[in-house]
Amino acid sequence: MNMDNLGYLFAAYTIIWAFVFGYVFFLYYKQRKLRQQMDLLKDSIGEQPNKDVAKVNTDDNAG
Amino acid sequence: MDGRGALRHYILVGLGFALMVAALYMVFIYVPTDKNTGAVQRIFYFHVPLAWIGFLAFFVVFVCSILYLTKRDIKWDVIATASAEVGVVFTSLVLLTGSIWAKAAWGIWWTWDARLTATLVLWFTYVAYLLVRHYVTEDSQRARLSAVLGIVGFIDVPIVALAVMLWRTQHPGAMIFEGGLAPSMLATLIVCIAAFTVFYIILVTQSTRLKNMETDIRDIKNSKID
Repeated sequence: MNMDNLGYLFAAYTIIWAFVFGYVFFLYYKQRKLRQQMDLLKDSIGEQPNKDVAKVNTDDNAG
Repeated sequence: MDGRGALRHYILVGLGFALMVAALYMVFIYVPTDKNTGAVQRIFYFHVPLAWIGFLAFFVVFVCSILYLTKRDIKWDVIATASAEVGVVFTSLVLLTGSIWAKAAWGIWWTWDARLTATLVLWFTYVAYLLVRHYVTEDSQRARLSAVLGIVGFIDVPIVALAVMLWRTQHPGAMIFEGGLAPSMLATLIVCIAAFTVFYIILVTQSTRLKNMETDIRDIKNSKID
């Protein structure tokens, strides 16, 4: 390989991969954050009816 | 993601990875060094595909914006946004790698040449598109405004593509279509374009999925508040 201007070649490919990995990481981070939010919402929605069911069961037993 | 969707995603990622490895092998080992410009000419094999995929991304924005305005289906707005985001990332890389190449080949980082200036205008247009999306909070207004910008902004794409033919520019002409590339160089370029096309599809699909997820979460939160 001709060695002239190799620094420019290195700089160009480093920038390309830095941007690409940066964007992929940004998407990954966003996905993780959204998953956590989704899990929290699922928990809060899922817990509500369970609590109601538990309350009804307790009331039934008491009655 | 359902089972079939996940399988399709993994096949795409595998194909993209294989193509990218092949592209890197061809760029750095297979293709001979250009006699006139030396090793720095290898920037060309990523610079050109990045520019083409940038055009493709903005074309998708253009088509999806028209579809949104005619059908008023929010899915087109979501795909357009995802594509604009990827297009801006790729066009930023086109400007940066082009500038590095210009410094090596012409001795300057930047010149107000027709193609370079038109590409910079394109970049600013789609950055403005993303800013509109960020700052307009009302959903339908945001989708409508950005769709108009997505359509109007696309006017610059043919100007960028044809700039080397319309004006006298310092930027090299359309040597790919004029048969100015050796077969090994053309093969390398085609593999690089294929690799970046698959990569673009993966990124837009993922970004679209995340934007849909974001909307779902917001809707659930709103319905809980109501």
